Amino acid sequence: MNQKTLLDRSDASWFIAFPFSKPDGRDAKTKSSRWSKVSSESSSSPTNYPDFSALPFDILTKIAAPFNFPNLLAASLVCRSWGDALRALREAMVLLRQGKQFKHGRGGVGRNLEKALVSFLKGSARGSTLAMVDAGLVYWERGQKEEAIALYQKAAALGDAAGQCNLGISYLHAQPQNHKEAVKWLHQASIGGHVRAQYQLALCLHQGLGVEQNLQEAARWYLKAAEGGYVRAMYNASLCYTFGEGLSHSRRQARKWMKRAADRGHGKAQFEHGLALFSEGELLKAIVYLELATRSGETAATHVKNAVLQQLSATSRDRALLLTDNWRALPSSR
Amino acid sequence: MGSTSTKIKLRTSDQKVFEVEKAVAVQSQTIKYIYENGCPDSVIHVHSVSGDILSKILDYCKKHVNSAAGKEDISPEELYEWDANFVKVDQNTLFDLILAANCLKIESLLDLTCQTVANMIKGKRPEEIRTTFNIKNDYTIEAEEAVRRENKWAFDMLGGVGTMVIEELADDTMSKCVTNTKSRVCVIAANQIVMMRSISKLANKKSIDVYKQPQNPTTPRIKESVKQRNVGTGFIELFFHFKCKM
Repeated sequence: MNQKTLLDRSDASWFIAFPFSKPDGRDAKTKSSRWSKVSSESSSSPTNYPDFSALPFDILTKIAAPFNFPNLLAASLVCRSWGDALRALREAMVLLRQGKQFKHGRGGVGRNLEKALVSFLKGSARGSTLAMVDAGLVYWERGQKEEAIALYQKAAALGDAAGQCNLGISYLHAQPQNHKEAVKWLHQASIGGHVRAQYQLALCLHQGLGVEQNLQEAARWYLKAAEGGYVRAMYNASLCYTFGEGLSHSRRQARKWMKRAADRGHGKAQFEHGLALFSEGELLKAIVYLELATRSGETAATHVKNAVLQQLSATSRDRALLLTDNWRALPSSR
Repeated sequence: MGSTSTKIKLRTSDQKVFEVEKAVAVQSQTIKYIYENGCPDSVIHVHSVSGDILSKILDYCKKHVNSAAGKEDISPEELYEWDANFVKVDQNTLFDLILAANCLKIESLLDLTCQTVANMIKGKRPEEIRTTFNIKNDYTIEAEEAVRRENKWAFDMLGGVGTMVIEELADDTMSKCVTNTKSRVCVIAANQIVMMRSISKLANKKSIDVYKQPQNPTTPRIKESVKQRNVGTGFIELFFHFKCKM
């Protein structure tokens, strides 16, 4: 026989080629429930449906690698074989939680990055992409960029949106810069719904980095990220509406997004919004935003603010100061 | 015959023969290995794959080879769209594609099909997943409870306020920590989570000597001794001394 065969490493029944060309009758019967449609002509399969409960363990681990705990638990409860296959990932979840405790110093544990990393790496070894991404973040914080990128690559290959986003961003900042790869991974993460990735992708499209410049697409992704709560994307979306770049001119939309960005703490947005309010005659509100902008470091806002302050009475000025001091940013996904 | 037009013959489980370009066929690491380690002219048998499935797989490989080599003018986004449509198939085909991609070791196709299945699982309750995939529930009530419980305490324990974990149990080790009396302690030994104690229970005793009886032979037997000392209102310092026998 001159044909070579290879054994599949995970399970002996997944042979590529048997030494004999036809499976013998006994083998066909015991294997028929697993093979079902695969060798439909050589065995009689009673079921019309494929047997997903018989998916090999390593494939199930691969599928469930990027799952969070609720999804993992649901998958584990589907049937016994899935529950067995996913046990290692469930343990990884425990280690992930432990790692987060060490990283943030919660629950009676002192902050300890070393132990956090150890826990995250154990979770990664069990196949959880969430642990891989967290381990990568710790490595990045410590300046070990190669290790971080290796982990992001593993997580990204398994379909984890955060891993793909981080990988894309690390390619953007790498020496030498690799914009094409970055855009590829950012695109995948954006489709997966990762807000920060959507913003970064929009930036690349806007500036033509690694991909042809496309203002409509860029604006589309800015809007998506803005709707997802990303503050800088809100500011950029507002600018797109103002200048009609990639989106049709719309003063209303521009104002809406600028206000949203300002309410969430964006310095420049606060300045712009303050100006807009001033031009509408809302002096008190304008002062609040201009003061906030000044505090965020927008020096240009100071001059305008002082000019507007002249027009207010002393009591109004005090009220404005009080409002500013009591102002709190709305929550955002950064 | 130049190397660019080298063809490889593949025979499937239902005796169909496919002749494909080498560059396309070696997307499968398995076929690549067999080709490079055997006679280049002989037919390679792929017994675990039927003709229909192999034909689809070869379409996939061809598309990706051509787009990578620049033979086809297709942007990454368009290729992504093509892939998304490629996996819009009935469940039988999807299942077969996964197993075949695994057997033939075509990484990108395996990634694609696995992510497709993952998206079909995410966000669903177990009953819904079973309906989607036609899987029979073979859990007994006790077994199902065990899985829920196994994770619940881990989650409560680590997610709740005032919990603590000790791990890295090696033989004859001492460990010290300060924690509040509402905490629970988890011990991980030999990569298994072996026990949990509530510290408020421990806090009532001066010291405890406990042997943990293993439920299965691979769980280590642990003798723990715990001494505790009050270090302020509601906080205790614990000394753990572990003796571990595998």
